[in-house]
Amino acid sequence: MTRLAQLTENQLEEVVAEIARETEELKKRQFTGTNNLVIHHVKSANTWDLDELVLGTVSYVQWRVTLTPDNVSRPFSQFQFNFDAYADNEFIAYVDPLNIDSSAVSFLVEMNNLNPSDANVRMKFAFKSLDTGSISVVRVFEI
Amino acid sequence: MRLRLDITHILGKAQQVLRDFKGRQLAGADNIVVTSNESVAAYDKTLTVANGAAGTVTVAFDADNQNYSFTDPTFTVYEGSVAPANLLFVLSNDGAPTNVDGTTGGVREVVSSSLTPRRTEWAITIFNASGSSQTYYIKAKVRSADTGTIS
Repeated sequence: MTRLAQLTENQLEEVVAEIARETEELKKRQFTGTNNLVIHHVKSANTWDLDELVLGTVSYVQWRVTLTPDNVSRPFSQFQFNFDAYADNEFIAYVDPLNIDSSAVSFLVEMNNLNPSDANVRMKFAFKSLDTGSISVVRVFEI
Repeated sequence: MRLRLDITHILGKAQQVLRDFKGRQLAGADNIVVTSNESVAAYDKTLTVANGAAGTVTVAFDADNQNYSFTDPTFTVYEGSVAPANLLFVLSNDGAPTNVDGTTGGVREVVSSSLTPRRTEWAITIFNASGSSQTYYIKAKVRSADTGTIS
């Protein structure tokens, strides 16, 4: 603050100008860097999130895994899964195209069942997401 | 009178700045920097699979700064040796299996409950239908909001 600005009749103007300067500096801050983008690892405490009997006569099963976010709609999320199943069974997962407009985030997990015997399929799911939330699983269909 | 006019002018500017600030998108496309990470080696992993069998290998990405960093990996798979003519297929994390003459490959990102928050791991599975035992060479590239190391 200059001596001229210290005059009583000029102080108000100077203070308001300082507020404007500081607000401008605040406006120009960088908000997003590699180490301040907070990403949550959403997973349950269960060893497995899915433990279901799949008959040996079934060749294909599809499950929908849904992340219901706590705060925002459709937070950007990446899907992870592990399985404990017959070794040759083939698994793929992708974004559920029928549920893409929902406020939740859904992925479809498909399994080609190559096991000729009845067996339990156990799977564990997780999401890397911009929001926290909870995970649910439903079997969509089988053939 | 002059002072009052100046104050009004400055307050008007401050008000406009605050209005801009309130309406600003904090994380825009131009202030998230995405880096492409890869090792200097010609390949990162090998996987030998008998004919008619499936094999799985794991590739990891350790981010330098960020926990649970979003990642966009691609895995270039060569059959026999690393040469352009031996390029078999490129796998990505889109969930789709890739098939070349019956040999299929797929990628899944594994649940990393036993891993450090900065590590992401992918399991790459290849089913060999080539007619003979094969060694596959896998080169990884990972796009991420953070820099990091592939192993």
